[in-house]
Amino acid sequence: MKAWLPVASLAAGFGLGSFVLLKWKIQFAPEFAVYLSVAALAGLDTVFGGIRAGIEGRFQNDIFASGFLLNTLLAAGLAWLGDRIGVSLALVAVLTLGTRVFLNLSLIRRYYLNKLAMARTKAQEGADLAQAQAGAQLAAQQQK
Amino acid sequence: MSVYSSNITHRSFYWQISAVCFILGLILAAAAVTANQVSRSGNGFTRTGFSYDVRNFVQARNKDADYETVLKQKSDYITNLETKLSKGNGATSLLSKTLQETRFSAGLTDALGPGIQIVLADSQKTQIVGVDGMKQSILIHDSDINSVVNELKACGAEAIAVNGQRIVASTSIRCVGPVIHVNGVPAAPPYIIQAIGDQDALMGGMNLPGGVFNELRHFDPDMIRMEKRSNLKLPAFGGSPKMRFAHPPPTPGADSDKDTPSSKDNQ
Repeated sequence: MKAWLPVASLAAGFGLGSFVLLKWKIQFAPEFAVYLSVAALAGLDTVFGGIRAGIEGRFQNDIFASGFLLNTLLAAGLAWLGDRIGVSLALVAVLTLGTRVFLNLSLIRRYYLNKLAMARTKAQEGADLAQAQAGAQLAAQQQK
Repeated sequence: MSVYSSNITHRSFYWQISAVCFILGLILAAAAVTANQVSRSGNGFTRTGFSYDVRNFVQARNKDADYETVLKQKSDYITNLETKLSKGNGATSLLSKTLQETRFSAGLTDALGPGIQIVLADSQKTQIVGVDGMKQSILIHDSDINSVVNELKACGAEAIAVNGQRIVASTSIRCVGPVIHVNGVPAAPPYIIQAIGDQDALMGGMNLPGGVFNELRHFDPDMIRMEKRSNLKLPAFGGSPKMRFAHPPPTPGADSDKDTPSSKDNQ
């Protein structure tokens, strides 16, 4: 199934990352925990944004790739800057990115629900048509 | 028709999404590992950020123990000499007796007697404390020990020891990182406070309404254990009573005060 490929690669990335970090005991300073989390959230936002753009037919490789790179770096960098100047910009990043993730998810969900409904209507129409045809045939036979 | 292709352009974007998902997985792993690490090392000002080099700490503690043995040997030697002195004639024996009494009241010898023992332990419960709603366990702080010791003194305790460290005039009780230093010696929870004195008075003082344990009992009553002990043995003060800056005033009527630093300054 092609549809599971991104999920599988996400799992593979997570597995590889945890394995490498735990195997060689690579540790980040505890202060970086919040920056990493904000960066991960920005990455998540880009992925869902990409899927949404894709189903809307606006997907572009360069925008997607640069968006992923810059958004993760910017989110982490802004959170860091906020800590330096004593304003919790990490919270702002979480709020903004979180809102966008939910918005994108709801749009994606709506799109597929619509498609499902359309497919169902089509099938119903097909069935109605078949029934009508069968009725017409029956009537024709009775007339003979 | 599939999830990652568009109806409008019919262009699929599996590979792009998958590649980015892989990198996202790596970042998520790093974030998860770091967050896990942070939550395991605790939070708040209580136990955070003190990543102790345990080996160095143990080595230093063993060294301390060695020094303590040497100190004990020396002080035993001095006591031995003083005992010998007391077996001499009347004057020296009186002098020696006074010296022993002074040393006892200064806390430089062991003290025996009835009293109470208080054990203060960190709470096992975690509670939501503070405006950020972070989970914290309630810990015993240096201020708790200080107020207990102060209350014990107020209730007429004649000798007090905290985790085997005798409380004397120069004693400090102070929080240094995750441990509390008593007389400069690190003490870890549970903190055992022993006091010799009138048992009922001491117990009563500890149980005063609105007293020293009011707040701790409100958080978690299991943090405090108190019991009467009929024969406590409190160790002698292990540090040096020598003073570098303070000196007594010159004795009136002494034939020579050459040795006092003040006269040296005048010359």
